[in-house]
Amino acid sequence: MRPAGKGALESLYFDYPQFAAPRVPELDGTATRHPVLIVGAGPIGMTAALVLARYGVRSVLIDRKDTFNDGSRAICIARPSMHILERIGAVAPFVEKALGWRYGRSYYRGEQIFRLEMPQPPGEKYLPMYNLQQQYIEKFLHDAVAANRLIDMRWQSELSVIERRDDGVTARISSPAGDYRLDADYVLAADGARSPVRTMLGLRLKGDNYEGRYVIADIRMDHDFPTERRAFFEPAGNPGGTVLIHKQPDNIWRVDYQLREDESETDALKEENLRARVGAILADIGHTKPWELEWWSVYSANTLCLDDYRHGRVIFIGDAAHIVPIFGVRGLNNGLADAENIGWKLALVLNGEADERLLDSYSPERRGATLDVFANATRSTRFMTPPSRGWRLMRDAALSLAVKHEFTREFANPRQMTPYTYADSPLTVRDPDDDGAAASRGPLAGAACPNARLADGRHLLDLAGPGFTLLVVCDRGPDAAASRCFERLRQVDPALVVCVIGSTALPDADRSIAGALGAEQGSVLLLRPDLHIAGRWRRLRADRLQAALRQALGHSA
Amino acid sequence: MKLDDPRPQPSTLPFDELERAYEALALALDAAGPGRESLLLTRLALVLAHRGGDLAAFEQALAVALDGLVEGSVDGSA
Repeated sequence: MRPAGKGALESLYFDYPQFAAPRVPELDGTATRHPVLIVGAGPIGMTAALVLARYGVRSVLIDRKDTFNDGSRAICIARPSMHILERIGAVAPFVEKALGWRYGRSYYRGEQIFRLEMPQPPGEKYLPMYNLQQQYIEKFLHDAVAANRLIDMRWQSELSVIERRDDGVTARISSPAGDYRLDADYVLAADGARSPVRTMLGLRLKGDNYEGRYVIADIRMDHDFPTERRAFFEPAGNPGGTVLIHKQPDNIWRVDYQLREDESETDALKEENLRARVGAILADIGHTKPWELEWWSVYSANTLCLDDYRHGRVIFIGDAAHIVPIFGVRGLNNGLADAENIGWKLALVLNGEADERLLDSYSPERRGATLDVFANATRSTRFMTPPSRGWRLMRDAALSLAVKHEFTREFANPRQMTPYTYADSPLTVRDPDDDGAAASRGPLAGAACPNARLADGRHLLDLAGPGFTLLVVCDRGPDAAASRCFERLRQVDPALVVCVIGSTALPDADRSIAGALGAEQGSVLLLRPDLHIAGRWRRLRADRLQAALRQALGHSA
Repeated sequence: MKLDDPRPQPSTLPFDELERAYEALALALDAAGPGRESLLLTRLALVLAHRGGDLAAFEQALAVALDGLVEGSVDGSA
């Protein structure tokens, strides 16, 4: 919602473009079968298209709207998502515009009770979190989409019918330029929380709804405070409810405040009531200068997902597959991970480099990540919006003790997003030789690979290829047997990139790279295209590595 | 009285177990209901005092819990 007298897209700081419906070949009787149709050009759909394009796979991307989503919505981009944006060649404007951060504070009745400090290992390239309004996220992704000849972007184009077959999908698409039929090998449904594709397939999200409601409001003000997450429990400016404040670019600040149980949502969303409440919250944090109201909305937490994210050749990604609570910033970030996960798998299958069975791993991996989010988010949601009197009493007890006592302060930790470990994935090899698990040092098989700074200022993950990457820790450089092993692996994945850590090309004098990986001399890690660890071994063994690589490509053993 | 004893306390719970205690108590409070939650908490405190077997520790825990709730309690900062 926007202030009285303003248009629906009349922003203080962002000009919404208006995109026309294109004249498409299907309307002129040229029926092409497309490899992939992506429904929904939000951040997740656009990212999926860019991931596919990275592997040379064409897609048609449709959206029923004529511009970006309204309002700042998902504003926190986590470190793993910055790596995804980097891999699709879109990260530069994000680095330039977004506000990076790693600290936060929680207060109880005006007293600071918790200092959030997100880890920043020395080898990492990006900060743990970046704040950026969703309009900018969509704009920067769209700039990359528009510049990519492999992506056929069609605005004002709405899916009206979808028909699934064993060998493909047929869609009817309606647009101002005309209605037409479109055939595709696969459909990615990225059409959001109220996904029409989900409805057309007769599928339902399952899970829980939470009653606590938050108003989320964007304002513009000159306010001198660093980019940190601030949480206020029982503040004077919002008695009986919690307040969250985040800084965004362009002097825009996000103020989220919880409504009391007895408050009517309709009244709370009226502009005069909203202005009064935001004014009281700002007075409470010491801001007495003028401010302008930009946009507001209301939110309540849900933990809902589909039983299966893949239905034959229709695959659900982002909010269409799962809805998670905002506390912990996992909605956008998990959606981006969905897009990359299905993107590289589908591309390798369509390019004939992987078995179609590779797609079977998408739902267990990404639904597993969702269920992990639910486990964490349920705890933070019970803290942010206690669902009953018992939970409320417990929270108040923990918070009031935290003023003077360390032992309950950890309850105020927002448990921000961490990447999920695909430990139980059918693609992950659990080798008896697995040195990470054995020594409990370094990342386990299935985990996202840590980064490390190289002697020349670049980072280890910069060296990874679009396909699989082999990291070998070897001071002396590979011998003849190792070279034969690499050749055997290239027969399975011709694009395999081999990085020999400790070689003259990749020196590791202080052993900081091997240390970050928890790797000994001779250790080997196999990285997937999404830079999760497919497997790790203490020694280079051609037979085991070849089997692991085949497994990670969906081939039978 | 000093509320936070600086000496290592081997019997304190690690956070993940404290969190499970938090969750169990929240569910018990809801099961007891508003009319009986005070009785539940008082009974719980008596049981813990008895099983803890350490009167001084109980009195110190009671002071921590009371601190800040009423004027004139332990360090008078209410």
